[in-house]
Amino acid sequence: MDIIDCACTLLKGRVRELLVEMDRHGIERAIIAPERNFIAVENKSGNSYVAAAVSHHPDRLIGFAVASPWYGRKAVAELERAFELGLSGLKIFPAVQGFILADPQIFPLIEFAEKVGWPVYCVTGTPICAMPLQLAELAERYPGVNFIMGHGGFCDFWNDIPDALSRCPNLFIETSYVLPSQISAWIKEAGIMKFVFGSDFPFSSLDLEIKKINLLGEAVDKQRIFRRNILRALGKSR
Amino acid sequence: MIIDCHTHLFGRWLNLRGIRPRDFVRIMDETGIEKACVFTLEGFFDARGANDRLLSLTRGFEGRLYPFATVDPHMGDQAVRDLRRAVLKLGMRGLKVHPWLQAFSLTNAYFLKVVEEAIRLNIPIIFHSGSPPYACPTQIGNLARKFPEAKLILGEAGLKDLWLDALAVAKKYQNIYLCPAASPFSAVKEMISTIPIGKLLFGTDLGFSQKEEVLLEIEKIRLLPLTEKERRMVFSENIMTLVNFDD
Repeated sequence: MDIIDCACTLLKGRVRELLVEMDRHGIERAIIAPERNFIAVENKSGNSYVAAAVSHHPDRLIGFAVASPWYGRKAVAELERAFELGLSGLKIFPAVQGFILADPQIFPLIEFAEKVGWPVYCVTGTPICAMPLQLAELAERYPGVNFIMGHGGFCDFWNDIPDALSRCPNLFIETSYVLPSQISAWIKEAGIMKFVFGSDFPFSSLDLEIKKINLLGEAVDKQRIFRRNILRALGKSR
Repeated sequence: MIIDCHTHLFGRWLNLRGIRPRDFVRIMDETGIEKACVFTLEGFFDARGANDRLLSLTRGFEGRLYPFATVDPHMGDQAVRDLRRAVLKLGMRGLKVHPWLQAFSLTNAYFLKVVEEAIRLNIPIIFHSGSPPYACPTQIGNLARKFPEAKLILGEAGLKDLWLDALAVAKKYQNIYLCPAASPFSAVKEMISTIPIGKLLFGTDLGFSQKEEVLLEIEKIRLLPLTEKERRMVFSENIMTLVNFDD
């Protein structure tokens, strides 16, 4: 039981269900963030229920905070509060929060993450606002922050992934939705050190996402994808 | 029986090399797929001669591989002639278009003529779907509204970002079917509970994908809360109402 799943959503009031699923699939720890409406608007209550779950299960759950950049200074204040509550990273979701990654209004949030040593998980793959090379630009702007490319740019940006990863030593890629044959190809181009396992539970199937990684060839060091790389990405924040 | 209604047979596209027919059928044998609708890989970039090449690749595998044509609406009326020839002379069973890779809008006047011809020929059209700016489910829905007699299949069912649109148009238009290859599991669960099960089809995108993806897609259908009858419909019976598999 030693998998770390770096992309889970905790539905409000459903901690027990998440832990049961984790146990059933051999997930030692899960990185959790609030569900969508809390990402878009009700940031404060979202961060609070995630922090409460983490404080009850600190050995199993790692919480990431959310704050809509449209709240400006209040967004940074909310991240400070979340930090005090014990959360360990920032999740941004441009398609849901309504901004493009080049928008300067996201910068103060990233700067806060840099200050406290948080990694930044960004949901990618949606054209216009959340494309892999847009995230690479942000990662180059903040070389001191570790970024995780959520859902690996799925689906239409496969051509851009190797360049995005190679350009940025501080950019990792999360595996949910991405086809295993695609992961194998990218490992050859960008190196296995970049890949971190995520399931997007409960939206994707934990069963299938784990099975997928196990279907990668013998030569692929699954331990790195399932555990070791994300520990590196989390740095001191874990 | 499992029929895979969405695959791509051998060919080459940039650094992607498709799967040769013998290996392709071996993967079908190993994963329990009896029949597959096969599409071109390279023909989305240059349709000239693509249907003939695809047909020749299926030779010797009759009863297993059922070729679908592609046409290029940029070639004007030639696209309609190509489709007629592919179906009437080459025996192809449907039309596959990939509006994103083929770079045409679904409002393209020549493509509308192709759709009319597909209706006359009584063949389904399967689209890549889920990729702006040309391959969005609502664009296919708009086509379904113009052509209620056309049988339109959304390959990938809107993918990760547009599956809600795919679900909405499948609900709204009786002539839209969904093939949720690579769609999120939670999206497929939503589909089976909100649209008639007769509208869901099984496909893997083999050729773009590999054997591993076929195993995962089969597992995905098995994990769904369906009755055995419903599972049979998704795996084979539904597509048999749309495609002529007679030899």
